[in-house]
Amino acid sequence: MIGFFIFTAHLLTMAEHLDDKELLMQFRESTSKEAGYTRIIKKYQEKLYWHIRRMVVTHDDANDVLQNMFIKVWNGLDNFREDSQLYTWLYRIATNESLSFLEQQKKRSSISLSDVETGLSNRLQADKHFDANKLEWKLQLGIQQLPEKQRAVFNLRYYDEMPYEEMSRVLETSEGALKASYHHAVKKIEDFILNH
Amino acid sequence: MNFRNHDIKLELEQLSPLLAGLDKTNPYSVPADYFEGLPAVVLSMVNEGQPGFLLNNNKQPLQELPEGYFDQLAGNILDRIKNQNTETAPEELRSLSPLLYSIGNDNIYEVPRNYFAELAETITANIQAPRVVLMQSRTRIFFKYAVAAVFTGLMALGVFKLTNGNKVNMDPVVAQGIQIAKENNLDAELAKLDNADIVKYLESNGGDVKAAMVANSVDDNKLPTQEDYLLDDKALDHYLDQININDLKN
Repeated sequence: MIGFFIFTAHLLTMAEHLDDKELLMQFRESTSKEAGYTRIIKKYQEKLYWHIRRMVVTHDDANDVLQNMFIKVWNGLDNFREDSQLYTWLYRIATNESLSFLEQQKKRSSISLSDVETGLSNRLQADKHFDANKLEWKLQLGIQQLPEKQRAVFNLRYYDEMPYEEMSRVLETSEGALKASYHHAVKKIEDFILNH
Repeated sequence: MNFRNHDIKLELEQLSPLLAGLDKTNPYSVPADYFEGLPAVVLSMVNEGQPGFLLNNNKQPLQELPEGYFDQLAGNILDRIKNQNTETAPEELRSLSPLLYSIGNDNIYEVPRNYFAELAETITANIQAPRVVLMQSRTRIFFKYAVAAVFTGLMALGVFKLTNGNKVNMDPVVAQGIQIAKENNLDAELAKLDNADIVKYLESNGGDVKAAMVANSVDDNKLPTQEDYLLDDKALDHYLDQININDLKN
C-alpha cells in the first residue's frame, strides 16, 4: 500500500515535470509566450504567495513581492537552463525577493533586524483574525521570531514539505546546514510556545 | 495533523511532539478573487514596459540602441563602479548600522550665549601689547662704552695713586698707620701707649674719658644682671662704688 502511494507520488511528480516542460516550451514560443506565462502564474501563484506571505506577513507586502517576483520570471525564464525543476527555480526567486524585501525594509526604517522581526510580530497581532490564545497564532508568532533565512527553512520544510535536497537548491545551502537549521528552528518555536 | 510526507511528519514528531500535534491551519486571509485576477495584473505590468522589458503591446521590433552606446559603455560602467565605491559617510553609516544612522550626529554640547561672537575680541584683549624695543644706533652704543672705559680708567688711576703713589709726599704718621694696618699690629702698638697719652687724645677729640676708662676696667662677667636691676633700682650705683671710678681717674 505504501509502495503504491510512493509510486503514485512519483508519477505525479513526473507528470508535473512534463507539464512544466510543456509550459516552458509554450513560453519560449513567441506566439504563445503570454499564454504560457499565464499558465505558469496560475499553476504556482498560491504556493509562491503563501511562501512569501509567511515571510513578510501582510498581504500588501506579499502582493508587491509576488508581482516583482513574476516580473523577474518573465525576464529570466528564457535563460532558465532547466538544471533544476521550474518549481525549484521559482521558489528560489520568491525566497530571494522576500529576503531582499525584508532587508530593504530594515534599511528604510533604519532599525535593527530584531526590530524588523518585532515589527512583523506586531503586524501579525494586528490581523483582525488574530487570537493570541489560539495555538496556530502562537505558532505564527514563534515563526516570526526566527531569523529570516531560518524562517524560510522552517516554512519550506513545515508548510511546503520540501525535501532537503530540493531546499538545498532553493536556498543554495548544504543539506546538512539546512537540517541543523530546521531542527534548531523547531526547538526555538517550541520554547516560544511553551513560554508564551 | 495534515502532513503529506510521512518522513517529514516523523521527523517533526521526533523533534517536537508539540509542533507535530498542531494543526497546520492557515491563519492568514486573502482578498476575494485575488488569485483569479493575479495573472492578468502581472501580465499588464509586463506589457506596460517594466524595467528590463524589451517587448511592448504591439510586439514591435526591439528598440534601437542609442548612438555611440558601446563607445561610452565602458566609461559609464567605470563611473558607476567608482560611484559605488565612494559612498558618502552617511551612506556608509546607514549600511553599517541603521541604529547609529538614525541617532544622527546632532551636537549635544552647549556653549555660552554669544560665545563665538565675542571670542575673537576676548582673545585679542588678552594679548599684551608687545614692548617696543628702541633700536639704538651703533655710534651711540660705542660712545657709551667709551665713556665707561674712561671713567673706569680714571678711577683705577686714582686708586693707584692713593695706594701706591709717591711715598715722599705721604704724611709720615699716615704712612706709619698704613704700615701698622698691613702688619696687623694695632693691639701691640696700643699696649705701648701711656694712659696719659690716651686721656689727652680722647679729651682733645671730644671723647668721654670716664666712659672710656670704665669700659676699659669693667669686667663683663661682673656687671649687674637684669634681675639685679629689677630687684634693686640702685644696682648700678652699688656697682660703680665697687669699682671706685674716681680712683680710676687718678
